[in-house]
Amino acid sequence: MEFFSILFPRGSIDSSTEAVGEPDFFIDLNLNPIFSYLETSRPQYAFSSIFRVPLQQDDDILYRQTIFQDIEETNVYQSIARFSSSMMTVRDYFAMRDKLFYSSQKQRWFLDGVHLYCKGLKTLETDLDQVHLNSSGMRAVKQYLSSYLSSETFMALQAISTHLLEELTNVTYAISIKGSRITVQHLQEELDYGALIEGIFSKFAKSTGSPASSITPDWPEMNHVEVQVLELVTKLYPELFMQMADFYEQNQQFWDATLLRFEHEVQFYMSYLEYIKGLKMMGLSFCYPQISVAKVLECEEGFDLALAHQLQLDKIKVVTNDFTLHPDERILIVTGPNQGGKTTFARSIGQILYLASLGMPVSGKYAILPLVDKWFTHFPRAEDMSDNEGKLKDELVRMRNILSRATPQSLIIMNESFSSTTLQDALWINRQVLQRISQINVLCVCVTFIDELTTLGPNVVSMAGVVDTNAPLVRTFQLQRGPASGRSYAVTIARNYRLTYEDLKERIRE
Amino acid sequence: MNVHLMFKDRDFDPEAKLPDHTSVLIQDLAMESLFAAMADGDTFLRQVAEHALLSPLMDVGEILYRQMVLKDALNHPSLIREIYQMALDTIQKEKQYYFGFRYPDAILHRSLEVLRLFLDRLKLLMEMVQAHESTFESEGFIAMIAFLKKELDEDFFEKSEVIWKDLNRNQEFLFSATLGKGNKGVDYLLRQKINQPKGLGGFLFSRKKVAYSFQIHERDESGARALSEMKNKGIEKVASTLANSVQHMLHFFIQLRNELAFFVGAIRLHDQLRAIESPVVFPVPLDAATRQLDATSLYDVCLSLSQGCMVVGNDVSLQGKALVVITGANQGGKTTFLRSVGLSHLMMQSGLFVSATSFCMNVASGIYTHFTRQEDTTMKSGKLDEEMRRMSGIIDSLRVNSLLLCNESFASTNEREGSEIAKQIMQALVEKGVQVIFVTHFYEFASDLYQSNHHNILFLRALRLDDGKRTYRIVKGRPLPTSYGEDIFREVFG
Repeated sequence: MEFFSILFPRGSIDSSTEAVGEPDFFIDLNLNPIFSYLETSRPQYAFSSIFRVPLQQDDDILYRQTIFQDIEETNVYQSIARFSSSMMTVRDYFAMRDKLFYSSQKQRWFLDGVHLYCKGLKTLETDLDQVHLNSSGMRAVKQYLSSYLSSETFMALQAISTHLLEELTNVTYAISIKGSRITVQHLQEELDYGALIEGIFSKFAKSTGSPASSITPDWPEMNHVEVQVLELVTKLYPELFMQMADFYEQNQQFWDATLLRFEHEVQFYMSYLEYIKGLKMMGLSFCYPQISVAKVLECEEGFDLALAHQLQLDKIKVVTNDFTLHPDERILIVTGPNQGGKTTFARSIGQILYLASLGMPVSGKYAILPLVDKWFTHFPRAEDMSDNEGKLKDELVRMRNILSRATPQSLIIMNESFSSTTLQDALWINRQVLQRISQINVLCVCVTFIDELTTLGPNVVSMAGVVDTNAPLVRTFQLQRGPASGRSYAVTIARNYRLTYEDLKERIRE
Repeated sequence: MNVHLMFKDRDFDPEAKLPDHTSVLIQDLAMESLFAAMADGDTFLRQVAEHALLSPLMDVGEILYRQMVLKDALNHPSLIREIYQMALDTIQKEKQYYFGFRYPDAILHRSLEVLRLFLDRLKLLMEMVQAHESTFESEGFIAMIAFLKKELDEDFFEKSEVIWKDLNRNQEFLFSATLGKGNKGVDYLLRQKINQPKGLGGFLFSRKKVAYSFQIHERDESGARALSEMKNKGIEKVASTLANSVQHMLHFFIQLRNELAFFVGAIRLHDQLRAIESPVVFPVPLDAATRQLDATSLYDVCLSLSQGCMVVGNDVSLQGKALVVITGANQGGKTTFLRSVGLSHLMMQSGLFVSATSFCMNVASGIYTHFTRQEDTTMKSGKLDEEMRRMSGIIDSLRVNSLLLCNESFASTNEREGSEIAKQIMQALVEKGVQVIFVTHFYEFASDLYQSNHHNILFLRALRLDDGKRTYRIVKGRPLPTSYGEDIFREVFG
């Protein structure tokens, strides 16, 4: 079998990556809440290590992107979800088998589990037959699955379990209770009393609203009366129960390891697609970034994914931003009003680049991104409680470490760096740092309140928070190149509410 | 079993969610007095009135169907009230039967008691209906009576009585079961015993067969509990089937009450308006695309009800116009006129009569209001913000042939800006086939439209006599540069 992993085209990852700890920049870039949400959404599968291994080659990224694109198709997504949920149920059944005492019960839970396992795989095969798969990864899965399902072992497993189950399902027996005596026998042609009643009163029934009106508590264990009844039923059908016991003894090892691994790994894709689904429904765009060799960085309508997810829960509209850096533009200086979304904007750039390197679709209508080899963030640290001097020193030490490791393929995101000192000092230090960054030619996003930094050189691009001149207090969370243009207040408001002539022509339904 | 008096083909649901715009409509059209007249203090009647009026019918056939039923109801006021009371009382009584532990034997017992009540009330209903059968003329009533006669025939009552007696007797249990998850017995089903002396048919043969049995020891308490649990499982389906059946029967009474409630309210409204000599007429509904309104003495029914007397009406004729712009004197009856049009739409499209002496109008696919909110005292920008937010909310609901009533919209900003916003919105709405009636004192807005000489726009004005007196009449007329605030100032300050 050629297929090993749908995470890596060339098989398994180096086992040493298991030991990778969580990088510092996860918190600064707000990646933490995303990944922990994905993990906790599927607590049965541990896959956090995958998030810590950014891919360094564009064909690895493409391998995952194409798999994402396949799974994004509703039909594929649903068939995998169905498959996973079947497998989870199978495991539940086996847990039940381990828990219960009577052998006839154990054997039956096992039989049901095996049957569901076969059915789940068969269904997956049928489902995948009905869709067109483009990715080499999913095609390999499908191929592997087909050959496994046509193996003799599997076919026998399926045939016998199906047969036994049918027989057991067909068993119907009669119980009569008179005083404290219980009699078990074959059923004759007695009529269902409930059906008689239904027949008479059905004229009152509506298709809607028939509340289930009765609950009898139910649990998998049996009481001793039920056990005695079952023993008598066994006597009514001795051969069938014998066959079931044999099946149990002979089929203890039946799982296919490769398919188990697929089920596990595919949760990486499923959990992320589920995470972004709600945001897509709110009209936010996601795209598969194109990897640029020419160091172009371009994204339309990007946003901070973690923040958007939070805002979606609170039903707050998400602001998106465009950004572009041409190959010769290496430093992006972000300025603007307080609380105007600068940090969020810088984060979203970092997020987009990182998520792209995991092969994931990223926020935005489209994106062209470079491959990044190392990720650095230089954010103020809450735990820095020492005096300003110590704080500045610590910041500088951190920056020196970053600069000593950064390469032209790296990314540095600075957030209000060196702001613990005077403006004059901060300006000077930042100039020095940015010059070194220029020399290394590393990609840098720098959030600052110092406007002078925007004119440092030809490789520097300035983006500023948009201020609505008529309502300067209203935060727009928009950033763009160049100064914001003022507009008449009323028309601006009309635009905000999408009530201009053009907006309305679009909005009103035919 | 269908009642189908409100709709020919479906049930009326007074619990259904009303459109988001509902509370705004009630406020803007001042509908409280209308609901009060229909409900007469009864919260349920009020709820039904509100639901019927605020879920307007869009189809001319549906409107006429309900109009016919209402005409029948107006001809049989006491019988309608009597059946309504009977349904109401039955629903009340059903609630008094205690729902104890939700165990099958308790459920079965309760269901049998409720079944007794319902069977008696259904017999009563049949007597009431059959006595007046021949005097109904509407499709709705005729169909309902025919349906009742067919379904609640002798055979039904006979069979029901047998079931009731059969299950009331305590008996030996026979049920079937199958093997469920983990081979545990499931699908316990009560079976009709074959050798039952009396019953609903059944098989009288029996074959010899293998049978195994065991006895539970008399001191085995947990065994006795297990046994009773098993019995309960056995009667579970019968108990739940019967519980469902009486639940369905209850729904029939509830449906009867729900649908009659509207007509009971309409009868009340009719009586009240007659008492204050305010005329009503059954409107002629026209297809949505016709864009027509022809009315004689159209008045604001809510104003009339709250003042307790007949109020001034207007003769109106709007033919084929997509936009109506009303200008003129403050307190000159513009708002009242706007309301009377909105109310007639809601009344006509709920099957009611309308407040005029003759009336003919197209149906609107949705009625919306955008009234200025005088009570807002927030700062200017916030107020315009609020107006725009409301307008934006309405836009998402509008469709072709919807009706939008604007009352001094965008008055919270200056005239130039307000006019600009209004022009853009009106142009788009008209092009999208939305009908708009716009009361405004923005001269710039109104005169721009007038000069554009748009064939699709009708201009109306609150009529002021030469001596400055207002008449509360709305007539055709071009916009004039000033509103009449001066008049009111004089009236107040002398």
